[in-house]
Amino acid sequence: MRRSLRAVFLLLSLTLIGMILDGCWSRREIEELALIMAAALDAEGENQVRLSAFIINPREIGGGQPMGAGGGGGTRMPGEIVTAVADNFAEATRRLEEHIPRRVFWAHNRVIILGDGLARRGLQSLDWFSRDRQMRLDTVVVLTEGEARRVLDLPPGIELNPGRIITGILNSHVILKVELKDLFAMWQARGDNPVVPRVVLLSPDEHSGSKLQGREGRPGGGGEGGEGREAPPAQAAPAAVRFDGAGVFKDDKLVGYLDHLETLGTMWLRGEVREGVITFNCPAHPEGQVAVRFYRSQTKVKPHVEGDKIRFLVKITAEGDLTEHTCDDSLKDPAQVRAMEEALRREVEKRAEAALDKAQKELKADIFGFGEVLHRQEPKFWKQVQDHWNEIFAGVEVKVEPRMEVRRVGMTYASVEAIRGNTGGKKTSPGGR
Amino acid sequence: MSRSREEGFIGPWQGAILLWFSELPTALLFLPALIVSRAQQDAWMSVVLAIVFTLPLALLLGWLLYRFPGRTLFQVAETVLGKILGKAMTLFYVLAFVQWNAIVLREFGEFLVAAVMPETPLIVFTVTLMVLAVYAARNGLEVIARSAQFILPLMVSFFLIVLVLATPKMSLRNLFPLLEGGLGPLLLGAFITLGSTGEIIVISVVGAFLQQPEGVKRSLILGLAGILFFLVLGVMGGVLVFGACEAGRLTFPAFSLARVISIGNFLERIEVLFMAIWVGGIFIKVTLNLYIAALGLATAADLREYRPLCAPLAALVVVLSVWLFDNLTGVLFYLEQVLPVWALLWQWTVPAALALTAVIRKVEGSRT
Repeated sequence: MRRSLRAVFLLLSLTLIGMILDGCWSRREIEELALIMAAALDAEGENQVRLSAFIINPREIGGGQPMGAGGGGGTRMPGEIVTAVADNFAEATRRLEEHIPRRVFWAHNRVIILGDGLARRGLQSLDWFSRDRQMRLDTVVVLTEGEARRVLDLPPGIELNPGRIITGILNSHVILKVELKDLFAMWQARGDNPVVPRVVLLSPDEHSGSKLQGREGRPGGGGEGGEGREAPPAQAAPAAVRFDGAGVFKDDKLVGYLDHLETLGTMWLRGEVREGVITFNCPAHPEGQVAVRFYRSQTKVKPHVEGDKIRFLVKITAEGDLTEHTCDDSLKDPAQVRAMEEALRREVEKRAEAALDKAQKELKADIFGFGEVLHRQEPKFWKQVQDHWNEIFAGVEVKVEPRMEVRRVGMTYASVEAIRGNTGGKKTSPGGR
Repeated sequence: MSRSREEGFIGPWQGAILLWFSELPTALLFLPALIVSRAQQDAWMSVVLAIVFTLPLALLLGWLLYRFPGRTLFQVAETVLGKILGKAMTLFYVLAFVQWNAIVLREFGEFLVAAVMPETPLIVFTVTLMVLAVYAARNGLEVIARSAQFILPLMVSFFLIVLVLATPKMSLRNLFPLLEGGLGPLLLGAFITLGSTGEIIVISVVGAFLQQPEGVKRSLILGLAGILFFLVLGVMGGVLVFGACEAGRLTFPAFSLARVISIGNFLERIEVLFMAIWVGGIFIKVTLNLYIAALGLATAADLREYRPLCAPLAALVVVLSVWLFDNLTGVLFYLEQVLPVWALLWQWTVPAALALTAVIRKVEGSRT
């Protein structure tokens, strides 16, 4: 009796296993899916929205191995761009499916591009991007002036689709990077306001033609991440994107932009700098230049409350290596290195002050999360100011104290110019130690 | 008085592991959002408080097992309260476990449907799991404990891996300020947690099969310590990564946590692993609850075998799981508003009353 029961049970479980191994109920084979790699969100009309999505063409990303029948060779587009207008993005996605032959699949989306029209209207319409189960909160968010749709027109290059191009640039760690979860956190926190990096489209000329030497026209240097920043946004078909500045939101609405320097300052003040290059003129010889590549930075914000006066002390520490040095000083002298550090300190200060000026005087929005610092350190006091924090922030005194350390000077001690100019042995003797 | 329904014996470690499994699988997924939305960044303190509040219950259950060694709660009830009242109480517990199991099963199904496979009918998940649970429960406590032991290393290592991999996205400052809202929200958070920590009541049944009286003590201590450790980490993880606001806004912070992991663009999207392990954990929990309910019913009906009761009770659980709630909001509302009070009644008050009666009537179990 027991044995027969066991046999029946075994048979039953085998059938069940067979049913399950067959596949899931909601299974979708990859060739039934339209994988979105980048999404551009725009405002449309009075209060409608436009969703444009870059959908990859799976045959083209197979690396020469055609996946389905009829695929293969030739130079076909790595994907296609589809767009739909609706009252909200959830509905827009359904609308997309009315004119593409596959089901839209969001989980591989890498980047959300906000058009400034939508950004000025507010972030409310992003709710769906945190609610739908296919969405990932680590999708990066960028902002662009004008229509976000245009960013999707990026031609394939090293990377085949705009999603990978943009995340690839962001992974270089020198640019402000905002993920969806950060955006929501900054938006929700009363002592913080969202800052979202801005992308600018480059014409073919700007991208690969006559290379702009950003450093030359600029007094005092201040370039980071390499390229110049004076280029106007391109109108023709874009060849590339460049990250340039950032958009500032007050609560959930876009209110203004930071330029390159101000964005860098904001990153220092928020403690989001991870690595980068700072260029400045030699402290003693303004005709020469110094570039320092730094890594390992830390930002500590300390609020001081006296009565109802609030002060913030921002301590920034960073260390880096010298990567370029065309002055005629020798770097064997520790005093010289200290002078470099001092100049570096002033550079960081300049960035921070530019950002502070803009945020306090012009935008009147706390984009540094200082309010949240206050919230953490002085919760009782915060309760009194939280409702009108942005106005209070505009009048708050902020002191920035950078401390920069130059650890190494690279593979040479002195510049060629220093050796040539100092053969008299004024400062350096090239042979000896 | 019939002896225990089963000749199985488990070790103190196995007892502790069963305690973890009786609490953590659902608690890790559903509780963090509820606690964080009350206690904000202090949610982890709420958990600590809840565990502290659970200590008296642990003592009480330990004492019951000390006084009536080798007896399940159901047998104790009959010894202390007499045949009729004892059986009534056992039936009450059978119903309580069936209902609780239905809720766990529904949570399991709701999560899979909400987060992974929205087009699959809930009943497919619940029935599949329940069929498996019936099979496992029929094999007895030893088998349940061993499968728990087998799943545990996977679950723990994956849990820790998720947390470690998420560290680049964590910022410690999200935990501050401490005690912002004062004690009120903290206690409220702890209260919600109590609904889950009361689950250690399973020791009053499982403990009867522990090898020595010492084993109960060790099981309880290890069990509570483990629950504390994992629950605090689970709650903290969400807050550290998302901040208190966002973590309280997410329905499943722990799952979202696994989703945002991305190490160097290749180690990412590992939430499927999270799910696989989690389903394993829920399986143990459902099986254990089913086993206890069947054992209780067998005791009340004076049956020699609890095994024939597993399948009918499982059917009841599946039906209840569909019938109890309309939607996920209903489940969350229950977990937040109803469960703590109900748990205080059946997990705290009734055992306490039983112990008190035992003292007053001077009933003692025979020491063998």
